[in-house]
Amino acid sequence: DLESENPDDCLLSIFARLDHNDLDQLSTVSRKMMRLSDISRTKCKLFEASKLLVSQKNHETNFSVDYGSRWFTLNTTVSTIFKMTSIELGSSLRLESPSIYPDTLPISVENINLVSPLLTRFNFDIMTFSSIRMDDNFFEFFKHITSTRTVRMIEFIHCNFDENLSRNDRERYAIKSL
Amino acid sequence: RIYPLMRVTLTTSDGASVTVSRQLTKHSGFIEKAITDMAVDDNAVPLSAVAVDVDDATLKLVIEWLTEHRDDALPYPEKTDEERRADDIPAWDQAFVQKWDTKEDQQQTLYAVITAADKLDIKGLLDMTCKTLANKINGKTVEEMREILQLECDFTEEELAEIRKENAWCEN
Repeated sequence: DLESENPDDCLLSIFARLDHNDLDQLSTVSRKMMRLSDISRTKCKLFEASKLLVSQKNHETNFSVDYGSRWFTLNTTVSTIFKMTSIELGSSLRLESPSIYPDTLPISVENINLVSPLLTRFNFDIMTFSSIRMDDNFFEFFKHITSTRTVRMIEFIHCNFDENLSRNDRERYAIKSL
Repeated sequence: RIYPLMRVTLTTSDGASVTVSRQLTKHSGFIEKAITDMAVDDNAVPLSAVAVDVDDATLKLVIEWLTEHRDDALPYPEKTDEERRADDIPAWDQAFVQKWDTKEDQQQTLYAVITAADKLDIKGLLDMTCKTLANKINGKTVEEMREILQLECDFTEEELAEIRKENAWCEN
């Protein structure tokens, strides 16, 4: 068979041309395929999504993805099984006036850990962050979901920077005043 | 410098001999290294035979592909991660692979050519055959993938359920 005859590099070259859904299937084929599919995820094809919207309202952060002409919202209230639930595009996803968000809040580390592996499946055309306080965790998250990707536009609406932001991040993102 | 008229004899794993032009073998990193290691005079004809760990039937397919691609530019361009795609197989190559589909052992033939391209270090052929197999796997179910890859499941039912749970990301 192919597996016994070929080195891992050859198989990885094949699997790098699959997408995450295929790798999900492949990971249940056999133990070796699971190991190789995990490695391939850093190089595989990404889902081309139109938009990522990260917004905060009433102390809850909402992650929504416009993919394939459908909006998906990330359900962060289910901590054990994390899934995206398809929703209808409606007024609930429209950005509200900044005055409705008098206080920005950082994205919790728990939420970042939940959504990061999922969002790395996508290549977003547009990213919008609304009413988010940008702390060091945010910039780590931001780097994670934008690295090796081509994002056409990134919007920050009513966002501000955390006063405890590290000097490293201030310099990296050219933040001159807080 | 490659001398196109110079010919190289290749001996296969099943004892056959095939003589081909250096114009073809220049695309094989393995054969070119073997010739370099012989340190022969460029004008020496014929060269000593180069042993390749590929059977006669597979080598004939490799030579057929090399003949079509003899004028391809070298070195073969390295692909970045972003450039890895599987939908750009040239028409001649598609027809070449389709031809195997009439055989009962189409899967074995594809695997044999992938393995040969890897062993002989023929990057263009390896790239094309990897794309072909990726296209066969793309969008298939687990059972279909097992059939294509000819692999047995070595997970327990509990392990499979756990992996599926971890992979679940979208409610339809």
